[in-house]
Amino acid sequence: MQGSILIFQVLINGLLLAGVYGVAAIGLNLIFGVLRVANIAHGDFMMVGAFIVYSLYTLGLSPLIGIPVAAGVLFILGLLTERFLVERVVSQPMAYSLLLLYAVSILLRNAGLNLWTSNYVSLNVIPGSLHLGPFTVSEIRLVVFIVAVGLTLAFTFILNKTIAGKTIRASIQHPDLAGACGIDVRRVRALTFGVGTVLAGITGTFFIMLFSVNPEMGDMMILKLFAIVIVGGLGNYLGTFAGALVIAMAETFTGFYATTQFADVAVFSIFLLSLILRPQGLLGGRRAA
Amino acid sequence: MKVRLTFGRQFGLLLIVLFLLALVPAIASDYIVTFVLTLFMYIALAYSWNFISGYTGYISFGQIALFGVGSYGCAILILKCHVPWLLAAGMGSAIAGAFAIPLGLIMLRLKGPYFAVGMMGLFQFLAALAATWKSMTNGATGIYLPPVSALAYIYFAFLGLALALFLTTWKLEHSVFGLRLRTVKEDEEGAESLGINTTFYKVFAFVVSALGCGFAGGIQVFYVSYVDPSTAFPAVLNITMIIMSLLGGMGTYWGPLIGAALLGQISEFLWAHFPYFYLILYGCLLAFIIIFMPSGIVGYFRKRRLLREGIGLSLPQDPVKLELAKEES
Repeated sequence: MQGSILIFQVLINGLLLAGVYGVAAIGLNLIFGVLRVANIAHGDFMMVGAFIVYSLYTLGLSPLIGIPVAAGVLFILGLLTERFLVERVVSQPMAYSLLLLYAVSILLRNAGLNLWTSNYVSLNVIPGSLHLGPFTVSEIRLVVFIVAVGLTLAFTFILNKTIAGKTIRASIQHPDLAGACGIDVRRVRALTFGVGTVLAGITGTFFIMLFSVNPEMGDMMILKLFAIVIVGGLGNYLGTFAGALVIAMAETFTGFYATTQFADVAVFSIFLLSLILRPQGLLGGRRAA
Repeated sequence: MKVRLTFGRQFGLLLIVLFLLALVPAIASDYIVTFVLTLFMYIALAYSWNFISGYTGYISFGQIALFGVGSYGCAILILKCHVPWLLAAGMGSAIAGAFAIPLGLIMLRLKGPYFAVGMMGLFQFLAALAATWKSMTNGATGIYLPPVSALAYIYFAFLGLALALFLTTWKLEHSVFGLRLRTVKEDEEGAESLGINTTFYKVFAFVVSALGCGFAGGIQVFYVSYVDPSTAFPAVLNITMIIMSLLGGMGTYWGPLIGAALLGQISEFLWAHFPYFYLILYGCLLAFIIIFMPSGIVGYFRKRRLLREGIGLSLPQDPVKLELAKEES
């Protein structure tokens, strides 16, 4: 009895974590879909979001103000990155954008290390926990999960039901034809990159409220995010959520039964296995490799 | 002015440079020797990266993982089996190379960004493994080795390694083998359809790269006479070797040498003056290279016809003729 309660507890933690991962992974998937560019710097954009909120918090501003500010800053940062860097190599072979975004990653990470040092920090905004019967759920995790799911649903709605979403989907399916229909594909690319980095940044702000992070957090995040997108299938946003669930569960379970170091091994194995055995993702989508 | 480097002149130049470099440990101060041997290590690593990423186009963000494998291989052999250090470095390199065969067969099935991120993941995975596998690696405490007796040994070991990798690349540039390797970068499926076993060529390049990285790791271990997860898997070196290779010109045989020699000196200056900002500057430099001179310094000069065709990026004249000449001889 005690054992099964414990397993359920781990399951709940995995689910809550999946909600958080999902938001950033959708941003990565979206950028990949529209620009055909693998955003290696996604984890570092997360870090920027996290530390903007942290800096504002140390100045006495609550995350409720900090998160929108971070989102705004990241949108502009993403827009500028796309417009002045990625746009120049978007029609080149993949190696160019990959190396360019690697440069962005190096830049952001080391700027972060210079500004905020390599110390681990965390924001403890809502310290309490809820007791639901035998289970314990920390309030902040629940709040973050609800916000994350809300964001994902809102995003899916925008993508599927609005003109803006239609424009984005058209640019994903056939960029040339979309251009011929009067869609400014360049603008869509810049905006998409901006939105993607905002999603990354918001996830970062969740992260700093849930865990201790330092400016090198992008390193451990990027493999997880890629694994999520691959497991979920490229261009499949519902699948991304399923992928997030797989990765988060693997991580929490191995972390629970072994150590957190094994969790990274598990993530790496899933990454490799899913690419080799099922490159189209669990629920289908475009082939990844 | 056009630089015309014929084969004879290149060879003569190489001999003169080697002779001058061999004199360095005898006449220069320890500081200079240390500086030059570090340059050799950079050159060796830049060439190693160039094998896999420059020639086959598979961008690896974690090739330094094999440096770590070589480092630990060498350190453990010296400590537990009392192997002489140069032999241990060679065996460390062989371990890295042997490890690279199954690894390459798996990883090189991944394309583009997945290979890149996969290698990044492997790098982190191995670093974490080195930190946790205490019975073998002594964890985060690290392994201490007897201190190095003379700097000149290290100097010549790195010089030899850099030279070997340079010559291998030179040979690659002037052979059908290298041409086939290059087809992987240009059009892998097309090459496959022409009957080129691309998997073999990719894995071969990966293994050569691993041998180079592993050897460098082995020498480095003996040089600093210490190894722990952060010296065996140095993230900064990982970035440096990529930028050096790109600065000189990725997929060229002079490129890594020029890039490493140049950036090695610049980084020495940056270290001293901007210890906290130099990696930011590296990031900027990398972005600048990709956008404004993607084929590096060699490519830049070649485009402006300051370097003869045939040096650097270009293919050896006519592939068909070359193939025929090969068959005749």
